[in-house]
This record gives sequence, C-alpha cells and structure tokens, in this order.
Amino acid sequence: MTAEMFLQTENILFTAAVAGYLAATALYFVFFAVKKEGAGQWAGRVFAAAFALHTLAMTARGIGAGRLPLTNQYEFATSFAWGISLCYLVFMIKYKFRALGAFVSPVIFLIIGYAAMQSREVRELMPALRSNWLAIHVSTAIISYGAFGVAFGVSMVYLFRGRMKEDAFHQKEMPDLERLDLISYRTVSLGFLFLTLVIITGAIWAERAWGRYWSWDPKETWSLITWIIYALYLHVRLSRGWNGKKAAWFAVIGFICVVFTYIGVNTWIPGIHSYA
Amino acid sequence: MKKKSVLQSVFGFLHSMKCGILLLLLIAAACTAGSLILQDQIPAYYEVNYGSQMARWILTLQLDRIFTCSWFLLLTVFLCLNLALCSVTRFGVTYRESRRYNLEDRKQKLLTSMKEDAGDVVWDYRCRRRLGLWGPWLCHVGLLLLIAGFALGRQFGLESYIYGVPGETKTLEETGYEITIEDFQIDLREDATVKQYTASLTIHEQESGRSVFGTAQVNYPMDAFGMRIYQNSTGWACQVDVYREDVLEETKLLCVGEVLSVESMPDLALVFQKFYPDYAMTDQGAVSISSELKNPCAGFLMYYDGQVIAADTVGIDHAVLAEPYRFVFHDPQPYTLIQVLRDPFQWLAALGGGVILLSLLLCFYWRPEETVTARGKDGRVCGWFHSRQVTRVWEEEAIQGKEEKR
Repeated sequence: MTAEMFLQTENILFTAAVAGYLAATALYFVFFAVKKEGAGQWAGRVFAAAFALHTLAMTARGIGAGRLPLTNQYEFATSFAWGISLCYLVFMIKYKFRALGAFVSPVIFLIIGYAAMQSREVRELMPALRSNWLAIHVSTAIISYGAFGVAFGVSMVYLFRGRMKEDAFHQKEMPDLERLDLISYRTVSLGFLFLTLVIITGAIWAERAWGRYWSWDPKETWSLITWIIYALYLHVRLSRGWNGKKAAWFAVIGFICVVFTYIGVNTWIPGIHSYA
Repeated sequence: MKKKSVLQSVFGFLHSMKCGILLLLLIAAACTAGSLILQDQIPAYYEVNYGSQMARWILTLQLDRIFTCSWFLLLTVFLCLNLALCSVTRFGVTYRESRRYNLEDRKQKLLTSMKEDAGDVVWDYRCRRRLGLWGPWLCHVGLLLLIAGFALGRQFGLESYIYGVPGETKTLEETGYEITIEDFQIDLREDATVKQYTASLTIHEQESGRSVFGTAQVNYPMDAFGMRIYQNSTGWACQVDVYREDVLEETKLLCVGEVLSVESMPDLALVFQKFYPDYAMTDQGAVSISSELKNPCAGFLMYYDGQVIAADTVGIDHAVLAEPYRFVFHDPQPYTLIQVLRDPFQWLAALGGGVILLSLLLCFYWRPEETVTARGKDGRVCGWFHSRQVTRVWEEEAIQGKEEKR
C-alpha cells in the first residue's frame, strides 16, 4: 500500500469513527434519559467500536505520513479525543460505570468534530518539530488531557446526580456521590501527574529547540495556569476538605482551562506554539 | 490566652496554606493577563489596540511586561518564602509521621470494630511504603528548587545573540569570545520546505587563544566553553553598494531590519525593510510566492532628516536614487541568527522538576500500607487492619470533610 492509500483509508476510518461516536452519544443519551438498559449495552459496544476505528485511523495516518500523527491542529485534536476515549474506557471498566459515557461521549464528539473541521493535509515537519521529544511530550499531553476530560465527565455526573431524584436506575448504574467524588479525584490525580510530565518534557524540548526551557509563551503560560488550578484543587481538597460539589466545580473549571490551553491559545493568541 | 504579636501573626500567615493559595491565585491571574495582553510592545501599540484610558492602566500596572515586572517578581518571592517556611515547619511533622503514625488511632478503630472482647492483646504494627508520606513535602521542595534554579539562571546566566553570513566573525559582548560563521546551510526538501538549518561555527576564546569548531542545528545545539550555542533563526541579507556621483563610496552587508547610514551625509539613511526572494504583486500587496531566488527584490525605506522620503521595492542590481547617492542591492544570501546561552543553574531547575515528579508519584501511587494486628494471649489473631481498608477510611472521611489531622 502506498502512503496515499493509507491516508485515504484514514479518511474512511476517521469518518466511521466520528459516526460511531455520534451514535454512541445518542445511545448513551437514550440510556440515561429513558433509562433503557439495552441502550446502555449497545452504547458501550458502539463506543468501543468507534474507539477501535479511531485507533486504526490514527495508525493509518501515522503510516501514511511516515511519522507520529501528533503535530498539527487536526492531529492533536483527534489525539485529544482519542485520549479521553481511552481514559474513559479504562475508568469505565475499572469502576463499572457505564453511565459516565453519557457525559464523556458528547465531549469526545465535540472535540473530534472540531478535528474534522481542521485541515487534514499531511505536511512535512518544520525543523523545531523534528525531535524525539515530540512523541514523549504530546503522548503525555494526550493522557493528561484525556484524564481531565474524564474528570470533567465524572464531575458533571456528580453535579447532575445531586439534583436528580434517586431511583433504582441511578442506584444501579451510577456510583453514589462519595464514590463519584473519589473517581473524580483519582482521574484528576492521574491527569495532574501527566500534566506535570507534559510541562517538564516540554521544557526539556524547548531548551534544545528554542534555547530556553521556559519563555512565557502563551501555551506554556496556560499550561502553568491549568497546573495551578489543579494544584489548588488537590490542596484544598486534602487540607480544607473541599470535596463534593466544590471539588466537582473545580474539575469543571480545570477542564475549561485545558480546552482553552489547547484550542483557545492556538486560535486566538499568537506564540511559538502556534503550529500545535 | 496569650495574644499573638504582629510578627508572629505575619509569620503564621506567611507559612499558611491560605497564603500559598492566595499567591497561586494571584500568579494565575497575572499569567492570564500576561498571555492575553501582548507583551513588550511600544506604548503606541497599546493605545491603538486598547484605547488611551486602558493603555494608561496597562502601562501603569506594567501589564505590558508582567513576567519581568517588580510586582510579579515580588509575588514569586513571597511564594518561595511560603514554600520554604512550609517545608521547614512540615519537616518535623512528616519525619515523626514517617517513623510511626496513627498507631493509637488505628488501635482504637480496631478495638471498636472487634466483635468479640479482645481482652489483653498484643499489638503488631507493620508499615511499608512510608516514603509516600514525604510526597507533599518533597513537592514543595521541588517547586522551590525549580523557581530558584530559574531565577538564579536568569540572574547569573548569559544570553547573547549574534547574526551574520558565512565568513563573518562576531564578538560576543562582555564575554571574551568570538564566533566565526564558517558556513550556513538550509537543507530543503523536494517540495521546497525546510528540513534543517545548519550553522558551522568556530568559537574562539580570546584569553587562551583556544578554538572549538562545531555545528549548531535546530534541536541539536552546539556545546563549547560551557556555553550552549543554538541555531535560532534566519533571514535575508544583501550587499549594498553606495555610489556618490557614480563613484563607489562603500559596500556594506545589510540584513533585513538594519539601517545603512551614509558617512558623508549622516541625515540620509536607508532601511532594509523586507526581502522577497520570489517577488510578485497581488491583491494583498507585495508577496514572495516561493522561498527560491527567482525574482529577488528588496523593500526599503529612505529617510532624510528623520522624515521618510521614499518607500518602495527595488529589484536586485537595480539602483535606489537619492541624489547625489545611488544604492544598489546585490548578492542576496541568507544570514543566520545564533543564540548563545550559559545557564549555570539549569541543573537546579532540572533537579526541581525531577523532585516534583517523584513527589507526585509518591503522593498518588506510593501511599503507605500499614497492617495493625491484635493477637490474644493464645497467639490467635483477634483483629486486624490492612492499609487498603485504612486508605478507604481516609478517603471516606475526606469526603465527609472529617479528614484526620495527620
């Protein structure tokens, strides 16, 4: 197969993955709103299939482009969505928490939808991006952002759950508030550890490529702001007992910062990270 | 109750978490402003983009250079003070906890959870992964090291730039080093995109007379005499001949952005504003349609007595007239911008980063595991606690806002 054929395959797989995520979102909605068990099972299956297609699409692009597909807006947006999907699947399996999909899948769909609107042209890498640090830096970012995405979903469930009437469906399909809070804390912990790794690997790479490991570039600055927000979350949670609703709101604000760091900074603020 | 003195109150606040949180919030807010307001511009920029009232606020509060202004530095100093005091005061507590913690508390929990009367029991206490308790403390220390390394590097390090074309030798100001640009190559792909920039350089140490030769590429800096030399950027340069009444007066290499002043007429100045390797005029104005030297042109401004007297684009080997002078641009070639850095405290910042990572691993994934066992006189185990259960107890208590005072 030629590179062109791999990229054509990627197009088909990507479109199928987007459709899959859309279908999963709809099924999760039915599952959550109508409380139909069958819809939930199908939503899980369709989501897993969409994730598999998404993984194959990224692999095909990587082979077609002859490099890791992590270097432009489209590639990073699709990886961002992939990271959230991966983290969701891991946490869903670990905590047997299928209803989380009703809150996470719309986020994934929105991000992959944003990716679909970006140029999919494969371009050669500029010299600054030709580094082994690219793979480490961006992969850690995907896991970090993915975990924060899931924390956002869990926190939304928490906030909704507090307002909903308790019934058999909720008791069966959703963990209680305490457990939700704990899951949110664990996802934030994972995301925070990886965000720290993102900033450190980015600093090492920046030192080699730009001669400064920290230069207050908008992307760097917003990563720091996001890091501070989550650091505050962890601090006030552990020492001041800020948990439950307050912690959930913190996780929501943190994820808004994550999205702004990724999309907002690249779109509205010029800087040396503008290609990312 | 004895009233606290002002000094004690200030000290108490400075090492409190409340102070740390407040400082982090202020720093986050400053960073937000610093990223949204374009930094290091001339005052006129802010007046044009924000209006005169807002511009006045920006300039007064130094929001145009937040990351280097005094109040931001002061916030960072206070954060360091807070981290340092926190680390000092928490050290003893963490040390004691790491030796043996909560045994009495665990005993009580175990006693109340026992279904049968324990009677006289022998307690056995085991704990592993105690190192995990040092996580939060190490995180503060790591952050402190990181900030200190960054600040000291900025204060005592060296940062300098030189630019030029192959064959030129430039002196690094205030260092006693010279850099000769031996060669500069731009490696292009088939589609004319840049693959790599390579500068071949010789660094001379004037005092010892020693020289080091090497290459600097993007992502692959060159090391010499404790300095790191980076291929930072590139641009175009042209040779400019200055004729006075058809007599060649001087020839000078001019890089884009540079000004050529005529010695015999100091009021006259030529600014090399832009270079177009493949010039074309479009609806959007003058552009270069490729990076190849197909139709090279130079954009220039001519000043006389501080006033612009001409602004135009001229082809290579064509003349710009300013009677009695004639300027001719020729031999365009790319120049290289070389960055030279020496950061004697980079290791400290790297150590700080490493310590932070380690501390987070300890905090989240190396939590202490303890086992408390109660045995009766006959040696029979009549009760026990294991860390997994204990951990769960902690978390549930945290949920209810009743976290143990550890």
